[in-house]
Amino acid sequence: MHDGSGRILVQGLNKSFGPINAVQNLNFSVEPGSVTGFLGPNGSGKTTTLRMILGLISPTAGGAFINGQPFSRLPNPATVVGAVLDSQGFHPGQTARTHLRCYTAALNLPDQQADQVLELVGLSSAATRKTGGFSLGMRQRLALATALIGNPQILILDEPANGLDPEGIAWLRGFLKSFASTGRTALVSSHLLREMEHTVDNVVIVSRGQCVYNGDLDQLRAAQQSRVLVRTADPATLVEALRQSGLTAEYLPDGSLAVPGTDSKTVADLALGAGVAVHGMQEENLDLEQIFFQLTTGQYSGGAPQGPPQPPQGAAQWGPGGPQQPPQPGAPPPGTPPSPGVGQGYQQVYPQQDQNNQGGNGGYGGNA
Amino acid sequence: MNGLIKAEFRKIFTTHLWWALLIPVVVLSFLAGWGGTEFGQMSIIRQMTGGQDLPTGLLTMSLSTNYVTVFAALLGALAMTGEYRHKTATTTFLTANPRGAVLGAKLIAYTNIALIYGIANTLFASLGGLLGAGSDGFGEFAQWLMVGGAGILSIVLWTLLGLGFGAMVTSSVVAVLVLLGYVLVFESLVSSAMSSSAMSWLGDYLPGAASNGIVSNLSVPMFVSDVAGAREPMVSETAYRLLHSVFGGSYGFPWWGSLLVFAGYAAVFVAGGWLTSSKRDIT
Ligand SMILES: Nc1ncnc2c1ncn2[C@@H]1O[C@H](COP(=O)(O)OP(=O)(O)O)[C@@H](O)[C@H]1O
Ligand SMILES: [Mg+2]
Repeated sequence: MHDGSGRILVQGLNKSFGPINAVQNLNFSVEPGSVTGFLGPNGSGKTTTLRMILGLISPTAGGAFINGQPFSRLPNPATVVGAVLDSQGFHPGQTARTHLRCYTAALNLPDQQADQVLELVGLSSAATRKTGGFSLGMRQRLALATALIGNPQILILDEPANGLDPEGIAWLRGFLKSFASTGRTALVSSHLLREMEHTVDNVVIVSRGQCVYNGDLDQLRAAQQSRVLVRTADPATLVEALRQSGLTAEYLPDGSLAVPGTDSKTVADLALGAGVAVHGMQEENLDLEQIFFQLTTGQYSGGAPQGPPQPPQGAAQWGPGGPQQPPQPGAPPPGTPPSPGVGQGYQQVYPQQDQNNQGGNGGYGGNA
Repeated sequence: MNGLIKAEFRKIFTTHLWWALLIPVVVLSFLAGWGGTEFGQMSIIRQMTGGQDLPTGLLTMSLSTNYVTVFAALLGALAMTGEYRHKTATTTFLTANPRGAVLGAKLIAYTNIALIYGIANTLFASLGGLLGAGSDGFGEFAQWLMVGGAGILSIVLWTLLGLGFGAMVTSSVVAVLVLLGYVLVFESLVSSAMSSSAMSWLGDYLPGAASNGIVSNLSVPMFVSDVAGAREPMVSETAYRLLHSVFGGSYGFPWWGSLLVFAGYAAVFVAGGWLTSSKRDIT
């Protein structure tokens, strides 16, 4: 039996596929009544983790618990947790309705439940169409309907926004919010924070199979870091002056300096004091997406960790220390393609592809 | 569990596979029954046996069974591999605890479909036999029932073996190719290689020979005794061997011995499928 709490607990979860450590010592919990985003670049171990929670993959070490029990001990599991892991899981010759009725039968539910979930996801008009002809968006909806058929207390979705048009994403957002508002639990993975930013209340951010942030999204947002970008004729002198005032600076590819944790007035005063001419100065606030990128960008770094993680002020809880990168002022601005050989920051972050993640696309903005 | 079995029946009857594989079963059964008994009526044989009608219907029912079991094996093999192929395995396993319950439900549902196949085989082989030989071609009703029943058993066991094998290999392409390759090519190569060695007795214990023996080790002695009547003890071993070489089975091997051997194979594959699908990572 389970305790009915609607909590998901992941404890010391590890999974290796041969030499690949897909998930390493992952700890987090997902609470009922909220939508939790499970975020990380491609290959960071999200799908593997979700499948371990659902008892489909057995962990190398550690465990995952739903309502205080491993999945394999849940009686009638589909009435406790529904999941969409793959939007391809249909026999092409079955109609949406006959597909769903296989599961109403399996769960001993009345057959009308199939039509009810079809209506819920807006697929009623396609009930008698064969799934082989469904578009990706229709498949996502049918997969969601399948997950909901047992009226579960917990919903787990892996990259549900893939293949949905903006309207579909907005619909999903509303659906998830109302699902959670009834005290139920939603855990939703994505490789794009932007996609989930307005949907989720909490986030678990993973990188290279390790947790780099677990907590409230608003707190992460509040911890937005600012930095000053300054162009000067004599960077070396300015760096020395900054260092004496306890500030650090990084060279950017265009030759300017980035000074984190301060404001432009301080930098201007220091430059004046050091007699360095300033050609231009700009204050930059890191938005959520940039923080996400910096938290996870270390995934593709082959280099040594750059010191201990520095949590942004106000961040709720940081994952255990590890080789993942904390927000690094020297990291490239998001969206900028790596250009080897320019600036320290790039050389630190992109020296080589990590062997575990061959074929990775830099962990940003790629497709699932 | 009842729900899971009902779900399996729905999966079967809302897709095409079960009747698509039943078509060749029906056609082959009918042709084997008809063609085989036509052979039985040939006047030359009639003369040899003193103008007597031969109960060749019994023999051709075993012939047709041994042709169509391969389709039963394919049906079973695609039961589980189809779920991996269409990626429905994930959802299926999410609705059942433990995973073995899914395999159990499939075993029960597919046993029922295999019964349909078996009955269809018996009926259509008999229909062919009636056309070719008339009602005299079947010996006594009890004999017809026994041979037909043995055929159904053989078909059910092949379906279960295929199901277990499919659950082990998960790939439908691999499962189909290996089964066809084994049944149609490999076993006859192995047994002919062994036949001239000291190992020749082993040939009767190979899966294909054992499954053929379930029906043929019943029908060939029946046929001989029907034809020879009181002269049965004088029928030479060569005559038996000749019949067995055409219709399957082997001289002196009891049909229930073949049944036990083949049921053993089916059990091993079902157990293997059970174990591997309980432990496997579903990715
Ligand atoms: N079945 C598998 N066999 C080998 N490696 C795998 C398997 N599944 C996942 N991986 C590896 O594990 C890592 C994490 O993959 P995954 O969990 O799919 O990440 P995500 O869902 O975050 O994109 C990747 O490096 C991937 O190549
Ligand atoms: Mg994934």
